[in-house]
Order: sequence, then C-alpha cells, then structure tokens
Amino acid sequence: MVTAPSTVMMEHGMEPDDAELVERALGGNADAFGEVVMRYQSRFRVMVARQVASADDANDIVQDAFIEAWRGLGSFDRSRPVGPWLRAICRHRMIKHLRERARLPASPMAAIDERLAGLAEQDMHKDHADEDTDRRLTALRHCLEQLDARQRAMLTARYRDGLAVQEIAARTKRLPNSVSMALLRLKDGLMRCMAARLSGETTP
Amino acid sequence: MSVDRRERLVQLLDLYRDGSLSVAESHELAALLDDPQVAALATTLLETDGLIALALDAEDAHAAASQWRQRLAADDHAARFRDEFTKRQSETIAPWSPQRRSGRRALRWAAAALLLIAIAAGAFPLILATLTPDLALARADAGTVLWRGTTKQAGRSNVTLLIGDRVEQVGGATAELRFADGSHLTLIPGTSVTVQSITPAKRLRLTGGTINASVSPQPDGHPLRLLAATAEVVVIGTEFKLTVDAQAATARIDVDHGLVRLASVSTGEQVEVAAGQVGSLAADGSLTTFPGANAKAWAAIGPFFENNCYSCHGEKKQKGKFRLDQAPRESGAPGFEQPWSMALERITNGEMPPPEEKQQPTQAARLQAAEWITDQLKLAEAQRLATSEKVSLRKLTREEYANTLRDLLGVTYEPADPGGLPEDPNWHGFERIGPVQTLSPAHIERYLAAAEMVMDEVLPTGAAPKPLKQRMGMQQLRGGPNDHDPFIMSHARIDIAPNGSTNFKSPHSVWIERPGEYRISVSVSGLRPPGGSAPHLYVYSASLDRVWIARDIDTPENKPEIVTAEVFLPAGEIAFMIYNALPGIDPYENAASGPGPRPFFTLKRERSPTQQKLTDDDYVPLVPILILDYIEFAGPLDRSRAGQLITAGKRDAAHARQIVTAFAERAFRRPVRAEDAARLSGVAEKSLAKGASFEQAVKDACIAVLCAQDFLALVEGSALKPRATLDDWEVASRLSYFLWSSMPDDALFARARAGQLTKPADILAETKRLLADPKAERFVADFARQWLHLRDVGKFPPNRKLFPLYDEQMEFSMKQEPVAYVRDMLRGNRSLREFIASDWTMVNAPLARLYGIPGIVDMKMQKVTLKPEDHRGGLLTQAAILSQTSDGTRHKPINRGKLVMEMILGKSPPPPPPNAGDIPTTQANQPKATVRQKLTAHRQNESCAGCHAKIDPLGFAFDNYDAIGQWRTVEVVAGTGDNPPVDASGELPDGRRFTDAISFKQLLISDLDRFAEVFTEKLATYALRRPLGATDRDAVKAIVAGTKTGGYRLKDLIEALVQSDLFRKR
Repeated sequence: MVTAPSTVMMEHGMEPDDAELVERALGGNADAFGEVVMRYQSRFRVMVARQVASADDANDIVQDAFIEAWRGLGSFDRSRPVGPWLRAICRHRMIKHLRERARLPASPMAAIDERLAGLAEQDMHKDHADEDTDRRLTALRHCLEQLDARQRAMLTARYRDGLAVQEIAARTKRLPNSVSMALLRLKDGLMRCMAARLSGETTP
Repeated sequence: MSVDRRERLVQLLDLYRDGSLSVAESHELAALLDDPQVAALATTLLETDGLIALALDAEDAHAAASQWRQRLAADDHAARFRDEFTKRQSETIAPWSPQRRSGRRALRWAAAALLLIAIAAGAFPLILATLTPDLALARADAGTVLWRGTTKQAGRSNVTLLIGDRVEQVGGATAELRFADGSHLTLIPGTSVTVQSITPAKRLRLTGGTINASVSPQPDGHPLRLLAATAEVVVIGTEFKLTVDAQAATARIDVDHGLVRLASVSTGEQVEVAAGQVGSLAADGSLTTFPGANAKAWAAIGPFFENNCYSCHGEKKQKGKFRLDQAPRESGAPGFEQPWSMALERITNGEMPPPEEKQQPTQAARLQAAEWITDQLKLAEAQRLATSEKVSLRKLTREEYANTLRDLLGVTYEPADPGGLPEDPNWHGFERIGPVQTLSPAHIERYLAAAEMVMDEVLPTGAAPKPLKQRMGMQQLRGGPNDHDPFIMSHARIDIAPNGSTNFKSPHSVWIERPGEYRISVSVSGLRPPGGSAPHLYVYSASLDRVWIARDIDTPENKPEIVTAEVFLPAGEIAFMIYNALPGIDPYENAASGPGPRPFFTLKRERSPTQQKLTDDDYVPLVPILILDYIEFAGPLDRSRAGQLITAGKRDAAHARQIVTAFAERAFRRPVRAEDAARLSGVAEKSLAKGASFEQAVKDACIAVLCAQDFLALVEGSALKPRATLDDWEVASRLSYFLWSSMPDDALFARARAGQLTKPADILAETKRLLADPKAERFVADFARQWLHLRDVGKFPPNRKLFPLYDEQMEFSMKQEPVAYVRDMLRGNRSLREFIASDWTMVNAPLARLYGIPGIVDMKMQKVTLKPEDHRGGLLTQAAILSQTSDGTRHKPINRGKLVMEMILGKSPPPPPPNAGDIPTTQANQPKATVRQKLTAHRQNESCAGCHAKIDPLGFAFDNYDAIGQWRTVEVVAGTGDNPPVDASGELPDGRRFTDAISFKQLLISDLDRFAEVFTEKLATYALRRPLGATDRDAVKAIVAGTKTGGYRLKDLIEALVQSDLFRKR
C-alpha cells in the first residue's frame, strides 16, 4: 500500500498539507497545484492504466484530469479532502474515454470497452481498488526484474515506446505473428509469476 | 478455449491496438469476442498490458509534474490543433480505427431528436378536411390500414384521402395512392405515410418504409414533396424508389427516370439525384450520391446470392442476425463493405452455404461470386478514400517532414531516431495517402518535441554549449598497449581487411551531451589490389540503425583522404562500427593468437604475421585494404539562423509579428490568413509580455508555426468557398512534394504568387526544372521504395546457412538496384516496356556475384549490358522483387504471382480463406518435391483450385530464381533422391502459354497498354496522395493514350500527368 505522502510530510513537519496547497493554488499559485499533481499522479496513473491498457492514453487521461481540476478548482468544496475529489475527476475522465471508444461505429471492441468501463465504475465504489492495483503492480515490477535483457527490451519496445507489432517484427526480423506470440508467452509468464507472488503474500 | 483461438485473439488484439485491423479482421475479432469466455480473457489481457506499460514507464515524479505544467502551457496551441486535426481525421480515416474519436455521435442524436419531434407532431394531425377527391387510396389489401383521427379502417380500396389521414401497409402485398394527375405511390409492407397537403402542393410524410413512386410532371412551383424525419424529397416528375429507416434515421432514394432533389433536414444540405443514381442520407445528416447498381452485372451474379444465401439470410430468416438481401449492391453505397466482406470470407472458405446443405453451388460459381465481391470491395474502398471533403489534409510523411525542415531551416532532423516520429502507415505500399494516415495525441507531443529541438538549433538561447571535439585513433578504437611511446602511438594506424572492422565487430561508442548536428570526419587510405575492387568504408551506427558513411576509398597509403559526413545525433551514448564492407575473411578473426590490438604503421615495413597476409612480397596488396587513422566527432555545428530569421528592426511586438508572419508563409506554403497571423504573433506577444527576450518570443511563435496543421499537412481546398481544383499555391506544393518530397523553393513560390501555375504549359516548365534539380533524387528513391514495396526487402531474412551469399551488404545492394533502375529510366526517359524486360540493369559487386556477372568489383551501382545467359532484365527478375516474395527459406510462387497481378495487371486476387494451409516442408525421409509439385497437390482441393489457377502460373514463371533471386535449374530441397528440376512453364487464364520467365515477360509486354494504365494509376496515387476512384479512370486513360506514340516513356508520363486536369483536381 502506498502511504499518503501528505501524512508523511506532515509528521516530519516539512511540507504543507493538501489543504494548504489547494489554498495557495486557489490564490493563483500554479506551483502549489504542481505539488498536488506530484503527490497524486502516480497513484492515478496506476488506477487508469489498468483499465486503459496503454500508458500513453493513461498519461493523457491523468494529465487531462489535472488540467480539468486546475480549471475547476474554484468549484471545489474546501471543507473536504482533495484526494477523493481528484480521483473522482480522474475516474470520470477514464470512464468517458472508455465509453467513447466503445461507441466508435463498428468497433469490434465495443463490448470489451463497455466491460472495462463497467469494471471501472465498480471500482469507483470499492475502497481498496487502488491498493489492489498497487499490490499487483509491485508484484509485477518484481517479476519484470527476473526477465533477461532481450525479453525486457521486447516488452519495453511494445509497452513503453509503443511500437507497433509490425515495427518490432521489422526490427527483430521476425514475423509479426511470432512477435505477438512471443509477447503472449512473456505476458503469460508474468501473469503466472504475479499470481504466485500475490497468493504468497496473502498466505503467510 | 482452444489454443488456436487464444493465439488468434492475441494477434487480433495486437493489430487492433496498432490500428491496423482490416475490415475482415475486425469482423473476425467481433465474432470471437461474442464468446463471453474470450471476452473475459481479452479483458484480462488488456488489463495486464496496462499494468506492464505502467511498470515499465520509468516514472519521475518531478519530471511528470513539470510535464503537467508544460502541457497546460502548450494547451493553447497544441491541444487546439490536435482537436481540429482529429476532428478532420475522424471523417476520413477508417471508422473502426481506435484513433477515431466520436464526433458524429452528437449529430446522430440530434437527428434522432428531430425524429421524435416529428413523430409527436404526426400524432396530432390537424384535420382540415377539404373534401377534395384529388388523392385516393386506389388499391388496398388486407394488410392496409387507414387511420383517420382515432378511427381506423382496414382493407378498403377506392377511398378518398383527406389531409391528416395516415396509411399504413403493415402486411399483405402493396397499397397504392393515386393523385388526380395520375401520379401514384406504391407502399410496400412496413411503410407508413401521412397526408399533409394535397392541392395545389402535394405533401406527404413518410415515417418509415419504402415507396415506389411514378410521378407525372408537376406544375411549376408546386412539386411533390415527400418528407421524412431527416430527409425531404422534392419531385418534379420522375420514377423512383424511396426507403426511409426511421430507427437508424437514414434514407435512400433510387431514381429510375428524371431528377429528384434530396435534402437533409438537419444540415439543410441538398443534392440532386439523377436517373441511374442513388441518393443516400446518413444518420449524421450527410448526403451522398453514387451510381446505381449495374443491372446487367447484378443479373449475372445476383442469382448466386438469391439461390444460395437468401433462404437463411433474407426476408424470412436472418440466421446469425445477418441479412444479405438488404445489403447494398452498389460499391459506392454507404455500408457496402461490412456485409459483403463477411460474405466473401464465408463463401471463399467454404463455410457458406453450410456443407450440410444439399444444394451446393459449383466451384466456378463460388469463384465468380468471390471475384465480383472482391472487385466491388476494392472499388468501395477506393471510393471511400477518394471522396473528397471541402478541405483535405494530407499529412507529411516523416521523410517529407524531415526534408521540409531541412529546406525550410537548414537543419537535419532524423524522424526515425528513438523518440522520433512513428512509421507512416501505408496503403498498398504508398506511405503518403491522406485518408489512411492517423494522428494520435502521442504524435502531437512528438511534433512538439521535434519543433522545440529544431528551434533550439536555429535560434539558440542561453549560453552557447561547450562544443565537443573527440578524435578516436588506434588506441581508442582498437585498444591496447598503453605503455608505448605516445609519439609512436600517435603514428599508429588501423588496418582493416575485407569483412573486417576496427574492433572485431563489436561497437565503439561516443557520448553526446547535447543533441544536434555533428561533423564526422574519418581519415583513411584505401588500397586496391591489381584488378580488384577498392575497399569500402562503411560507418554504421547500431544504436540509431543508420549508415553514416558508405563509400569506396581509393587513395594511396601515404595520402589519406578525410571523409566527412554531417549527421544528426541525439543525446546519450551512440554506438557505431567501422567496417571494410567487402566480402572476405578477416585475418584477425582467424589469427591463431586470437584477435588483439596490433598497432600498424605501414605496409612497407616489418609487420605481424597476420598483417603480412595482406600483401605479397613486393608489398602489393592482395586484398582491398582500408587503413584508418582516426574518426572524429565535432559539434554541435552552428545551425543558428538568427541572422536570417530575425531581421533588423525595432525589437517590439509589431516587428515580431512581421518575422513570424513571413516565416509562417514559407512554412505553410501559402499566404498567411489574418486570423492565423494574429494567433501566431499572439504567442510571441504573450511571451514578450511575460518578459521573455525578443529571440525567445519569436522562437515560441515559430514552434507554434511548426506545430500547426498547415505545416504538418498539405491543406487543400477551402471550407468557405468549396472548389474542385487546386489554387496556385496548392499546385506548387503538390508539385514539389511529388518530385522533391519537400516544400517548394523560392522560384516555385514566386510562380505561385504571380499566379503562373494555372496553365498546363507553366506547370510543365516548372516540372522540367524540378526534375533537373538534384532534389529529384528524393522522388526516385521514395517512389521506387513505395511502389515496389522495398520496405519489405529483408523482412524475412534469408536463412544464412541456405544462402551464405546473403548479408547486410547484399540486402542493402538489393534495395539499391530498383532505385538505380528507376533513376536510369527517368534520366533516359525510357519506355515502361523496360520495367518488364530490358537488356541492362544496375549492379554493384555483391549483386554481380549473385547474378553471376563478372568484372564488377566496386560497391557503386553501375549499369551493365545483359546477355541472354544472364537471365535478367526488367524489374521482375531483380533480387529485391524475387526475395521479398520469399519467406527466407523458400520462394513463394503464390506471392510472386500476386505481385505480378497487382503490379503489372492491376488486379487484386481474393484473399485466401483463413483456414488455408501452408505448404508443408518435406521431411528427410520423403522423396524430394519442388514447391510447385506440392502446390499442385494443394490444388487438388477444389475450393483452392479456382483462385490458384489464376495466381500461381504468374509466379511459376519465376521458379528458376530461388528465395534470394539466384538463378537455378534444379530446386535444392530436403528429402530423398535427386534434386528435382525446375519447371517454369505455364499457361495464363486466357490460354496463352509460356515456357519460362523470358517468354512470360514477352506475354506481359504484348499487353503493355494495360501495364501503362496500371503504372500511371500508381504514379498518380503517389502524386495526388490519394487512391484513385472509378471517376478518375477516364483521366488516367487519357494520360496513357497521350504517351502511347512515344512507347510510354517514363518522363513523358510524368509530364503528361502534371499537365492533366487530374493533377489540378482536388
């Protein structure tokens, strides 16, 4: 679980808390809001990327959500904590994104996108959804470290640099289908490793 | 779930994410996802993708936070043009592409709202009974219901109709409404009509269904009007059929005689639909017209579908919720592609009609149906892509983007570098086709990053960077002994034997602090053995996958040459290698002592045993030897254009505006509109107001210019004044991007400004000038690469054990040959016939070795005269073509046949059914068989035979060439017995026979007119940056006809194309 950074910083007496930052931001201090962004964005990105399946799109959504929040800061009820408010904006953005995608005419993925949006909505009402994702992510990072350099390079090309399977195939001089299959094998391995770690966590 | 389905799902999901799903594949995916188990798996896979992406995305909270700030700041210019561009794109790119954002949804809801209002109004009609007998329900049957107020009557004929009456045909056969003037409307079941006005104006509201109308000429000013919720049809006198789908808010009208005006209620737009045409109103309110179905063609092909499909997918039954009888029969109709591509797939793979069905069509009939659908689908696709909007945007490819930056600002930008621009999608090889291009938010940020980087070079602000000057000599490149006298070591050189490198094939690296352009200098001597080739210096960056230097070196040992290249280097560690790229055995790699650092001074003195192998006793080189002193990196080079860009003047907002406007005019390739000038200079003003320096303010505005869609895309047409032809500025850009892959130069701009690009003669004069310029080399290379799919050469690298001749040099040379060939065709203005057969070609040393042509020793491409025993000539027997149609171990006659069909005959064979098998490889204990023999066995399967009879012979003609294009007379295969001899004979579908590639080429040449048309279509597709539609056919024919007397010469064709109306057409 991620400890809310604001609490930690308050204990050490080094940093202003969220409310104070929002106060300053409302006074037009964009740097103060930047601090808020820094505190929350990685958690939100985790939340969004899980459903959006693309780091680029996830980053876009989170950034857009922060811009929306910055623009709408005036309407924020200052008696309430800022985290849940930001998270709600972010979730709405994500659900909107998925719904929009689902509505593309003749999209073969409409059903899947609807389903993902539905899951996201369910998550909205679950308290531990974020922590669950965090745990999975930690497990996955550990599993990733066990891959060799070539395997990592392939995943990096696909998932971080966003190369198309075609491009990876051209670079590695393989058939696109065999790239897809190699990625699938890697994914299978990671899913197994992740499941093993997670079950190990819960059963002491 | 079976393993196969799981794998297929993964492949399709990958394609979907990359936005390269074809229509057929998208249906396949949708069908797979119908299974809840598959859908659940897909969800899990996508979630995992998301997590992996996140885990790999090395995050830096501070960097990300500052990203947010930048984003907010860039919101004004970047986000705005993204929205504009995406909106525009959403109307042109494939509807299933994930990049497409839904903008039309809102329109559709608007249309539906209108429909609701209409229904509400129709429910309370004002009954103004005027007791006129002018309109009657002339014929009714049991299925006819007449509503008058709340009372209803069923099945009564000869009733006088009143205003407000509603006639519904719910079942039965048909009902007929007849006006006094003889005009009559036939209502088919499912149709409902309300009378709104009878005389003098006739007005009926159609809530849904289909009516067939025959309307007598109507009095002036009082046409018959038919209103639907979203459409209005105005009739002056004609015969037509109108179908309205109330649920989907669409309407369609088929006109047999006369003229009908169809108007869209939501947009107010109108079109006239003439006899033989079909008018269609889409749910978003947009109107299209297209030619009606060719009745004769349908009469020939229609019965196949009627007899075999409609019983389950027609009016009575709709198995799988699929109805074929209502699928449009016109390739131009909206919604044509989806049902027919599904039908095509099912018919070709034998799934439909189901095998258990007793009545089965013959294979010939199946094939005929498949061909008809394939042809229509191709037309439909081209039509969809060719339909021009008021303003068309054709994004620059990444090569064009880089060329344009170079010509605009004199800087080098390498879009293929890591973090650069993504590869452009292509349409049949062509990368520059507007409608298939995509633009995602990730693109925008890369454009922004590129613009910032480029402008940092052009207008450097802040402290000048400490320049790098790093020279790497013997000690750094080959390493070793540190204890030598520095003076001696400074004279040490590096000897590189053929196939050798400075560092035994492992890369060196240089650390680049600041990205920018660097000058690379290599001091080198090259010794050629008597009668042999010169050594070939090849400096290659592995981390950038780019060749920096590739050239023959022919200088004496004591007079080294300094070879330089100016290259763009991104920041970070750059890995590179220096080769003597010629075939041979590097003695260092085989030295008994193992590779190690050995300083070299001169060939004329005592040397190590390995070095001695390089010369004979008289110190004459035995092999081509490269002797290298050092490689030096210097830079970043000063690319500052501050002096040119920032003209003298008062450093205030007004002057900034002048500078920015002048820059934007060149960058946008047209005069800058006042509102653009205001917006762009607004950026500079804002920066100035915030206290930025004058240079910084101008720079900010220039970055905005480089991120504007007018720079990133060729914008043609005007939203305010729609026009069918290009204006002078647009002609200038079309011409320069056609022939230079870049922006116009000052002279061409001057012509455009003076309005001198309208007359064909003026365009011709400029074309000649552009073609004579060295920049025309970009046309040669880009067109050859795209037309001949040279990107695919080496996609399936040949097995090195089977093909020891194949290496990187060979692949590079293979790609060079067609380019050099096209260059010579253009320079010599040769006939297109020579693309098919010729007595010359362009080779260098590796290719000459592959082709068995003696006497070619250098890496430089040179023209050779071919003898019949060389078995070469034309494009089809070039290694690039023969190897891209192979899979790395075997040649593939089917792929070769397909290539001939598409490239020479201009036809696309139907795609193979998804269950088509591969040709099995022979096991070691089986008798040897050629690929052809196995294919023949495959063709015993009747469902394969039809298509393969047409495709395969075109490929068999080249069976004398193996998977990398070497000549052979027997096919070397695994198995027992002798290698079987090659049989390259065959028969065309029309019965003409050939014995080998030579007689086959003669058959192709006898049909040169056809090839000329196909080629011209490809050339025009490249030049106009769009697929050609049915309406462009005649124009192409005219261009081709005009060059026939000269024997279809390449330059003549280009000149005829640029002078044609087609070229100036939008």
